[in-house]
Amino acid sequence: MKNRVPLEALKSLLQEQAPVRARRDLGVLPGSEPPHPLRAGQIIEVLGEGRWGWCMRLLRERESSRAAWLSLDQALLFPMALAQEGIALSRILFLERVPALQGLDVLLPVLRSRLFEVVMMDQGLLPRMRQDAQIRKVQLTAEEAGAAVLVLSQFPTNSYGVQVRVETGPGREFRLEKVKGGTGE
Amino acid sequence: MIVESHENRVERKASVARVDADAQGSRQEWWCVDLGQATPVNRDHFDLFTESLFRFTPDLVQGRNRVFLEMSRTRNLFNLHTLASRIGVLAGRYGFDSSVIRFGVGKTIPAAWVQTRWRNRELSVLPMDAYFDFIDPLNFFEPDRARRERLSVFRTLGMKTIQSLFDVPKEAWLVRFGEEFDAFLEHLEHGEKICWNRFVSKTPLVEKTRWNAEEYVIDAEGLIFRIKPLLDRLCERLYSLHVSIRKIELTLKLDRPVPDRKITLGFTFPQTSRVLLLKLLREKLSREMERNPLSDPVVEVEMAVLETGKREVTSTRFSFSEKDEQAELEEERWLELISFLGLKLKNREDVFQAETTEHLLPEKSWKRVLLSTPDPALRLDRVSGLFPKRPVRLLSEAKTLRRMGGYLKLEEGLFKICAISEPEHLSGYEWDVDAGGAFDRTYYRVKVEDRDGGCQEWWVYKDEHLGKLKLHGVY
Repeated sequence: MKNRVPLEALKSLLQEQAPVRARRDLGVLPGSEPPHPLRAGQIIEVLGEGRWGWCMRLLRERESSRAAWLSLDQALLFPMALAQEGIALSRILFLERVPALQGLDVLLPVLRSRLFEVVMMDQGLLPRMRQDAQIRKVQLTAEEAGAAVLVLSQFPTNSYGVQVRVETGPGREFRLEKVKGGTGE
Repeated sequence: MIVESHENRVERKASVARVDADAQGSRQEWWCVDLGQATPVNRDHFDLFTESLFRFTPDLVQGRNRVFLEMSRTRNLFNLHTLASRIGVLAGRYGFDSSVIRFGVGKTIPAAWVQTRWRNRELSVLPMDAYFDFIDPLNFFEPDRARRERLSVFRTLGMKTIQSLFDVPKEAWLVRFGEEFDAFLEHLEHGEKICWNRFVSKTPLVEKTRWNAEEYVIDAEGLIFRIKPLLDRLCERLYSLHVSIRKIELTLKLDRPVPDRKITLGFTFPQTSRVLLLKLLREKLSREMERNPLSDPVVEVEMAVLETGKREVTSTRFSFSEKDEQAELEEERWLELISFLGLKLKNREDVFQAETTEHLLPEKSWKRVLLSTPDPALRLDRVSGLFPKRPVRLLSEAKTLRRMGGYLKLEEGLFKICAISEPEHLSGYEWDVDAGGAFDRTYYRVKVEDRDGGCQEWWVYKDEHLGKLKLHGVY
C-alpha cells in the first residue's frame, strides 16, 4: 500500500511530540534498602506501627520543603516531638477533622496550591477500591504539583501505587519493607 | 490580629476627626474638587464620592458640593492632571457630570476654594464678591440678602477688590463688622492653623439589589450572578478605605412573607481579591442550598460587611527579583488556600500550624497558630535537649489504663508490659489559675507487647492527685 508511515517512524514522531515526562525526583524513602526513590505523583501507602515516626524522619530529611497533614479526627501528631527532631513547625500545615466524604475536596486544593512537597493523610480520606478514576486524579494532580502523597494506613488496602511497611527495631531504628509497587516511573 | 466591627472603626475615627493643623505647620497643600453644580447634589452619592477620594489622601474635608484634599503627604504620588482625570471617572460613577468639575490648589482651604472659584488668588485682582468665599469656604455659594447688602456697602465705600479692604485700618472693620471680619482675617492670614473637621465615612458597608419574582432565582448560580455587582461595589469602597473583608453577611428575602435567610461568611485572613471572594461565596452558597434548599424564589439580596481588617498595600511592594516575585505568588496562593480550607472544614480553627509554648503540661505545650506567609524557614523552635524525648503521637484525650500485674488493660484488650523506663515527674502551677491550676504527673515510657506479638512504646502517666494511670501518647 502507498503512503503508509512506517511504524518505527510513527513511534519516534509521537515520542518527539509527547515525550514521556520524567517525574520530579523528591529524594529517597528513608530507611529503604536499596534506596527507593520518592517521586512526585506517587501515592504511597505506609503501614506498620512505626509509620508516624518514619514520616517524621522523612520530614526531618527534607528540611526545606513544606508538608500538609490531613487527619480524620483531631491531629494526633505531637508538635513538640517534631520540634525536638529539629523540624520547623511553621513548615507543616495541619488539617484536622476532615470529613471522610470530603477527603478529595480538601486534598486536591492542597495539592493544586503547589505549596507542599509532601502530603500525609489518614487512611479513609482517599477512595479505595473500585474508584480508580479518582485515585488517578489524585496521582495526576500530585504529579503536576510536584508532590507525593503518603497514606498512613492501619490495614493494607492494596489500592495505591506503592505500599511500604515500617517496623521499628529494638533500638528504635526503622526497618522499611517494601511490600509492593514499582520504581515509580 | 485585632478585629473590629466597621461601626467601631467609624466611631473611633470620628472621635479623632479634628486634627491639630499646627502639627503640620505651613506645609499643607489643599486641592479643591468642586462639582460645579448650582444646587446641592444628592447627599448619599456625594458621601460615597467623597469616600472614594480616600484612595488619594486620608485627609478630606467635605463642603457643599466640594471636597478638599490635603495632599502634602501624598502629592509625590499624583499630579493634578492624573488626579483630575481619575476624579472625573469617580464622579461619573456616582452620577455627577465630570465636565463641569472644577479644581483648585492652595496652601489653605480658603485659598484653594478661592482659586477654584475665581481662578486667581491675588488679593488685588479678586473682586469683593470673594469676601464671603474666604469667610465660609466650605459652604458659601451665592450670597443671601444680608450678604448682598454687605457687599453693596463695600461697593458704596469704593471697595472693588479684596486688597482695598486693607486701605482702611483693620480695627475699623472689626468695630463695624465684628466676628465676621475677624473670621475673614483669620481665614486669610492664618488659614493653615484652623482645625477643619475631617470627613469620616458613615455610610454603612451595605449594598442591595432587587428583581422580579418572575426571574425565578432559586439556586446558587442565579444568586451569584446578582451578587457579583454588589461585591464589586463593596470592594471598590473598601479599596478606597484601605480595609479588607473579614466577615460578610448575605440576607436573602424570599417572595413569600417568611423570615429572611441570613448566610454569614468569615475569613481567616482579611480578603481583598474579588475573584477569590466570589469563588468562596459560590462555594458557601452551593453548600447552603444543598443543605437547605430554598422553598421560594429570592427577590432581594443584601450584602453587608460586618468586620473589616487592615489591608496590606501590596501594590507598593516592588519585586526586584524573580525570587521576590515567586515569594509573592506563593503568599497569594497560601492565603487563597487557607481561606478556602477554612470554608471547607467545619471550623476555621481546624486549619492551623503549631508553635511550642513554655507550658509544662504536654497538651498545652503547643498552640495553634496560622501564619500569613508560607515561608518554611520562619522559625525553628529550640526545644531539643530541654525535655526528654516526646512521643510522636499524643492522644487528644488520655485513655484510662488499669495495671493488672504484668499487664496493662485498655479498652482494646490486655497488653503485656515488657519494660518500664525511669520516671519523669511534671508538676506545677499551684498558684496559677489561668494556667489551668495545679497538676502532678509522673510519666513513664512503657514498652508493651500487642496481640500480634509486635512491640509498642507508650507514654503513660500516673496522676498523683487522682491516683489514675493514663495512656497519653505513643512513640
